[in-house]
Amino acid sequence: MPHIITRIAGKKAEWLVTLRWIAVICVVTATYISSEIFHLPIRKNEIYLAAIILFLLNVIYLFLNHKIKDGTEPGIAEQTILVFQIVTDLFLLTFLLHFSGGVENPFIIYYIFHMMIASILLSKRTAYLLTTYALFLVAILAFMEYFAIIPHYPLAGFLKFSYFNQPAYLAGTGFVFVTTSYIVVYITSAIVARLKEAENSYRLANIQLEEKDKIKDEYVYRLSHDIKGHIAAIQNSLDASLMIDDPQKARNFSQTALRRAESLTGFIKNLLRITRLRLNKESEVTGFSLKEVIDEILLFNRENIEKKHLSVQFHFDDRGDMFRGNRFSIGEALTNLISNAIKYTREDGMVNIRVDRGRGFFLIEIEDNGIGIPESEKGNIFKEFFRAKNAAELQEEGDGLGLAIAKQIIDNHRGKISVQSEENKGTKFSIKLPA
Amino acid sequence: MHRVLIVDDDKDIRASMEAMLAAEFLVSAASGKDEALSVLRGKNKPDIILLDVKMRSDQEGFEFAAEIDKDPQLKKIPIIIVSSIEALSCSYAAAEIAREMREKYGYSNLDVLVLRAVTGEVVIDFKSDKSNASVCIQVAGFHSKPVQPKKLIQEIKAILG
Repeated sequence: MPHIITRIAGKKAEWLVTLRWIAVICVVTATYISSEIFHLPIRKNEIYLAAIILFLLNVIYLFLNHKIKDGTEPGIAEQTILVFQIVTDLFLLTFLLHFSGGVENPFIIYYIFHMMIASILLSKRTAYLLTTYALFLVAILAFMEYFAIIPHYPLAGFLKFSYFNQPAYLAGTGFVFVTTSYIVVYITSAIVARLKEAENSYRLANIQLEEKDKIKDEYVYRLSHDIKGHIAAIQNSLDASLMIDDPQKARNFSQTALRRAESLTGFIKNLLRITRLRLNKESEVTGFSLKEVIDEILLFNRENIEKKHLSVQFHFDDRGDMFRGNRFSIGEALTNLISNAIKYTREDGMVNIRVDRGRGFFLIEIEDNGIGIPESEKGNIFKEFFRAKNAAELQEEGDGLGLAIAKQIIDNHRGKISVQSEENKGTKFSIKLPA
Repeated sequence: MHRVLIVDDDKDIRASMEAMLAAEFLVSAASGKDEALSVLRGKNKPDIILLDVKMRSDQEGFEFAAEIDKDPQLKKIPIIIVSSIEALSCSYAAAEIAREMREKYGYSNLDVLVLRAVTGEVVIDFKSDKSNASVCIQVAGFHSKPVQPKKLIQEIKAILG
């Protein structure tokens, strides 16, 4: 976000410089017309001098803007420069007015423009401060001309009567001028604040959309590549089974094709599963025993556990284990985690499962002393299609969706899943589920 | 008989391709870049390499091909890319435009370009994941997976002469 704000600020300064070029042209033209065509007795030399000063200042500001754009000046200086510009502009306007009738000059209305500009470009507080400064300048001008501390240059030929020395008139118009100024600042800054808010939220939404689009592209790429991988293996194996003469070998290739077709079906099922999980939250909620679910999973995996001579411990907190949620989904999440622990632990290894009841939550821990997760890959293990390098080495097959599905299920139950692991030492998944 | 080295991380693909080619060639296989390199450093150097692209990493095959290209001794071994990556075949003239569209406007479907010369050589132009720059490698051929065995055998024979 910060760089967005500086970008807008950069444009602000440019805009102010453009406005000032217009102001210089207008001052010169107006002075020329008033003095040469209407023969008004204004002090044109002083006014031209002011126009030249304004012109030169603008050249400096232009130069400063370029420096800011290059990044040679830090961002904070920008606001200061804007304030400084408006302060000098207001002073020059007062100077011009003094030499062309003082408060009697109708161009006095132009102070309002400066106040609007300040409200648009700067903070509300700064805009009010600058407005107060402008009104102070006008007051001093009126005061000094009234008490003849400085001379009054009347606009003879334009006004029939002079009123710079009429206190009632000065007080009345002064009051209207002051209130108008503050109301203008109030309204302008309110509008600007709303616009800024809207602009920022649009920008943010746009950035997020672009990001999402990219993620989706990558997702589709992974997905189509994984599907193609299975299909290529199926087709190749079938081709091979038809090409070779040895019937036993040909049969083996047909079996490979079948196995890969089954893997593909499993992959697509998992994909649909995770998409459905993401679309609708767990709908069927029942009360069930976590102990029962884990017992079932262990029973289902008994063959693999015995084959690898794993020692499996299941510690269970007696203080009640009735959990409310989707039994099928929770079972799926725990199956994925427990079967991972079994899969990625070497022979004679250990798997520990604990369920503890805390105040308002369940803590389920699944720990093994298996191959672990490399430090650099820990951040990715819950991402779809991701497989850690050492996992892929040990177990070639796997679609990289198991942990993603588990996480989605835990998320849907408003739970949290975290992992602690060290490569070649072991892995511990902790799940906290609100009871 | 000529020796063919298959480099692919999918063991079923390796096995089936070995079976397909066994009648015509002496076939060996490697599951990735490192294994393939140790085969190349061994006694029985292959006459041709069939190389998958996305193995451990997304561009492992390309990286392997680039490494071989740098080695004056191994450089002579022709490589046929056999992969299911998305690649766009285009002419040399169009490649310039495609590369610009990839770099300036981020067209991700142009990440891998396959340029075929009249002489039969193939140049793969891809956006490297590591350096984020366009890299060109010259190979002997490019096959999309799944391979058609007859076509592949024909092409290998044509390259080996």
